[in-house]
Amino acid sequence: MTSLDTTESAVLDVAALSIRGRRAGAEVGIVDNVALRVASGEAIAVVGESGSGKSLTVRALLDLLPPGVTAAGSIRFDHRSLGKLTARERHRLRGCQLAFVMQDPFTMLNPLQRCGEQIMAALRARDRRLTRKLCRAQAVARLEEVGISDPAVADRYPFELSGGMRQRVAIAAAIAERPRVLVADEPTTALDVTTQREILSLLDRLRRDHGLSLVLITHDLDVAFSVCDRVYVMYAGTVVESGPTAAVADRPRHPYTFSLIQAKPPLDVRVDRLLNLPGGVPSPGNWPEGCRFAPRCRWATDECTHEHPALNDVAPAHQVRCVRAGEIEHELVPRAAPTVIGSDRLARADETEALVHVRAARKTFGTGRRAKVAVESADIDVFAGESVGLVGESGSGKTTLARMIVGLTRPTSGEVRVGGVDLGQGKLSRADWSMVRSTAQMAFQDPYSTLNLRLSVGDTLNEAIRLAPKDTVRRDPAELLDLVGLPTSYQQRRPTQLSGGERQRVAIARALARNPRLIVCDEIVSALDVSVQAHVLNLLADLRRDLGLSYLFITHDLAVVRQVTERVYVLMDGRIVEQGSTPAVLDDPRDSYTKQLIRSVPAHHRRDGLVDRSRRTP
Amino acid sequence: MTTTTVVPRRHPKGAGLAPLAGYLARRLLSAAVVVAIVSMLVFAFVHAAPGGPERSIGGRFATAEQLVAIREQYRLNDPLWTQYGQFVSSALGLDFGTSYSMREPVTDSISRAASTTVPLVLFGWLAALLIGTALGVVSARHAGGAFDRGVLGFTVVGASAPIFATAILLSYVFGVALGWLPTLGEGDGGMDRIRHLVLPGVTLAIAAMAAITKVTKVRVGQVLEADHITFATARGLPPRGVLVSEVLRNSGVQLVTQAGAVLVAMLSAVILVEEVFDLDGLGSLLIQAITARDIPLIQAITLFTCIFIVAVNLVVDLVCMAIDPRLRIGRGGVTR
Amino acid sequence: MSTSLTLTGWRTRRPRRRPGIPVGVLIAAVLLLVPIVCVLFPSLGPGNATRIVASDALLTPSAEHWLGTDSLGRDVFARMVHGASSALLGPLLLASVTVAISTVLALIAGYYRGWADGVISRFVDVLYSVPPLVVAVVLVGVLGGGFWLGVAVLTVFNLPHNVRVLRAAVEEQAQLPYIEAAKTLGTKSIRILWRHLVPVISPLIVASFFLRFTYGIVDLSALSFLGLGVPPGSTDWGRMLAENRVTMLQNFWATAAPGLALIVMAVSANIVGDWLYNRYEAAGRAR
Repeated sequence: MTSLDTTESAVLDVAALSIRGRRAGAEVGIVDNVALRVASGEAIAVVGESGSGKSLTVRALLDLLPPGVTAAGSIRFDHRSLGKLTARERHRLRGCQLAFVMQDPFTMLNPLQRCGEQIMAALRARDRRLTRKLCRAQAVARLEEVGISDPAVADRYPFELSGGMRQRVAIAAAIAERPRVLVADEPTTALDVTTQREILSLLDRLRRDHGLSLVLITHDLDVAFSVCDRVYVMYAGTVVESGPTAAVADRPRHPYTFSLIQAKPPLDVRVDRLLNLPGGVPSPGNWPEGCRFAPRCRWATDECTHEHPALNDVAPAHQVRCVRAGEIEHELVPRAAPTVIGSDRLARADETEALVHVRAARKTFGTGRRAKVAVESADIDVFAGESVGLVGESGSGKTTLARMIVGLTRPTSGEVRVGGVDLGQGKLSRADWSMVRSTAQMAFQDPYSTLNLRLSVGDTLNEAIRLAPKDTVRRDPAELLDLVGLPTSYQQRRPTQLSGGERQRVAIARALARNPRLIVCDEIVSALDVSVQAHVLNLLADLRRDLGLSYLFITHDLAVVRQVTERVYVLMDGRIVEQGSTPAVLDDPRDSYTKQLIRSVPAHHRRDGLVDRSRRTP
Repeated sequence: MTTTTVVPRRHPKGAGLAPLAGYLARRLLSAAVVVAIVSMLVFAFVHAAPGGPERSIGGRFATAEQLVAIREQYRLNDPLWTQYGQFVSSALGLDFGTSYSMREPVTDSISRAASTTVPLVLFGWLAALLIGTALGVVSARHAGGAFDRGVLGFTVVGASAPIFATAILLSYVFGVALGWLPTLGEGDGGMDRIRHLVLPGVTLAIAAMAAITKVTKVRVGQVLEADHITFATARGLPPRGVLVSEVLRNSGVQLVTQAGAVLVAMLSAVILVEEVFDLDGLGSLLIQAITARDIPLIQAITLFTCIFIVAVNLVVDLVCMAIDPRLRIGRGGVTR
Repeated sequence: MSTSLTLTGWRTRRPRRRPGIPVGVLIAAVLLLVPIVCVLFPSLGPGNATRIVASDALLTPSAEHWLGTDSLGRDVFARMVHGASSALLGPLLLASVTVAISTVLALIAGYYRGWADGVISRFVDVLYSVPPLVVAVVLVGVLGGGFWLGVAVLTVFNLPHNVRVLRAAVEEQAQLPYIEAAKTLGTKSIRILWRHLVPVISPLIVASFFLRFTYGIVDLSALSFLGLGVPPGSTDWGRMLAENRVTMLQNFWATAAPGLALIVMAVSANIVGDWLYNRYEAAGRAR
């Protein structure tokens, strides 16, 4: 099932697909000459960072392009050309033959319709004879198929269900008419890692049970590798590499694929430095001449910039769009000998001063019967010079805990000592607050709202600098920008002119303006593309070395924890369930929840298998 | 661990009827409180009018003796609370006393005026709802096109032009210049009456329609961009089904809220329209009562207006809760 | 074999977004300046606004009387120019006071929250669904307070809508990380309001000013039209419309001029306000 040589078996065959749209009044190419094939029962992945054109590519397959965007090319479904069908016939194809699942389970379902009705909506529209009672019985059966055994879910509204449950309901609705191909656009990106694993194994099972072909769109190579037979890697509107999963994962032949693999922090080892890929994905309309990756490619030569390279075979069923693919083959060897950092670099916690000292902290929201406990009896320490991880899924209370430490929320009870000041005690003096603020600063998750859009970068930094205590070093904006690796000229820029990664750097610079000893990083890399994420993680390592900073790193990503922390706390439902040195917790977890978390990381699936095959449902 | 069975994390009690009844009871109670407070205000402020109520009744040229006699006759010497109690107990029996200016029971004047105003408002409102929603949906679907721009121009003018000015212009164009329709009075019943109510009804409808079109267009535009519409289309659901169960249903809360707001706003509009077209409706009656300082009439009309507003808001809230189950949460005592 | 595919779903056209200020908005802005010119040059035109010349009653437009005369022989054009100040002043005052108070209330309620938010929101909820004009008609009619009472009543009853819109915007912004970052850095809350929140929502504040100005024109002229607020014979446009209406067949322009002027002013202010509001919304979505 892994290789596909004959067009005969292709259920979906896309050739020379180009997509154009308008940008600032001019028409620009978004996707250029893409070819994809999916065999019956096969799973393929389309992988790329934001701006690669992967989402629009699959939307073109489904005839769901947004207004103003047009596609040209050949799309053949089961040997029928979509271009020869009428709009009505194409519409009928959707749902019946081609199904689509989207990224966000929280917005994908009709909020005002019961789940059962949504699952059956398409079937009812085609067959008026289906009675309400029959519908419900069928809906319950369909829910069973996607792993929901509780029939009451059919009568629930989407808002009454968790994200994972909603995604299951959506999948049940998408495949209600037994389509032959399921297109899933980032189906697990919005989900927690344990739920992600469940959904991925569900997709895998549906594929095997129903002979469903799967087209998985993802930015995460590990997710692609864990479920798919073949992988297409897209960059700036073109496919730069395609081939069987094993070949692409172990012997990537395009420098971009190689860089993506290298930039991704590994879960099992700590590396000295992640691959630094300069620049960003060029936006449509700004594609460079020649190979589009050339400006960021370490191996680029003059010939790369002359003309756009063709997609060439480098091995059976393995194609690469690189003129130097043959020459540089031996250089693209993924992480042969990772530099593992010994424990000698770890700070000796017990000998230094505690910057953060939390004991029996509790935080509830609301009062009376409706009170919700966010954090329960948490004990946390962060010592000077140390980097500590706080790991948990959504709703675990990790962000609440972080906000308590910088004083954005006050604990309901317990002790939250920051720089010696107890934030759990009633009213604090001005000096106390100043102490807290000079000790701990925070960087936030969303790069798009972390900066005030009305202020220039320079103004933002100056706002922060003027608050630095008189007796400490006052840095100027240029110096702060230099610290985070941005040019001084950025002072005049507006946030809208910056990329996501650059905004995060400015946000870090802003936090540094008060010369804090600790920066609380709340998921600061989770919204960034892999290559940009690597930049920021490297930057944090540099700052720590140069300024002696400490970090409290809040994240759901265990691989990131492995790279940047020495100690880690694992949170579940507001409680700390496990703590210890990072290698110890990740390599030898004791708590069952920690074990489940680690097992759910996609990088593990390929090695250990996504599904426990012995327990497969027939 | 393969998951072939999953149990939902939360089992809220759904939206049972019992908590809903509790909510309804609380809403009715608070509505009653609002009406009671307004009735006090209405009662109090007419007593605050310059010269007091006796001056209003007796007129500017009444002598001191006449004023004393009026105070006696209307029991104005009783304590204010007693007078208020009197007012409330008769009001509960729909007795608002006798109008000074009309020389008849207040309720008679009001019901006669209502027979003009109610059909007028109902016509304007229903026409605005139907046409306004349709225009809004079509222009949202063809956003940016010629139709949308035309509708946009209409809504901007219709929603902001002073209604008495448009009323006068319409009456000039269709009544005077073209001579198609009568512009004054309410006619002699039957077809003639309907002919007389066409122009005022259309004037009312235009302003209301503009307000409804605007909200519909914005909300439907938002819903059309939502993921669940794309998902429904991707499942091959028929366009008409998508329109009804996805687009309109998800715009329902905003549309119903706006329909209620427009109905309430028509209270102002109808005063002006009746003035321009010389109709003997509730609006003209209010103006007449104010000019004549006819206290019982003013009190009754204001109180009815208040009850009407409270009732419209209550119905709007209940309909919205029926449309959107999320609104039932918390209000019915259920939390997530 | 090339084939073009386009969307067959619901929305068929993408909203056109053109850079710069649309022509319609520019025209509206220029039209809004006209009454200001009238206020600055009150003796514009050849006529006299107040001199009664019985023999000149109900003349049609001519070189001497640009818009003709009314039933008392007064020059309509001069009266229009003279009335511009009253047409502008009331709505300007109403809009400024409404926007100023509601901005302060919205900042308190949306940023500080707590009990103040409870009180303000309660006030807003109670008054929200009351039609301002009806209250103004009853209060001004019974108490006889005139024009300024009308302005005051309409201001109070315009507050709830404005507070609700601005409060929602403040609350939305106040939860964003840039505000939290400012708090974490130790910025004083007054400075957060002044340096961060107010500039960010300022386009919305300006937009709401224009929308309140629109309602001011509409409702205040309605009061005058009903004979409440301004004395008979004054040059208020709403009053002129009511008085000249009966002689519309003799001099159409004596009625049409104030009517069209009111429509143009209200629609222009609304166009500018709507445009600013939509731009703020679009900027929020594009972040």
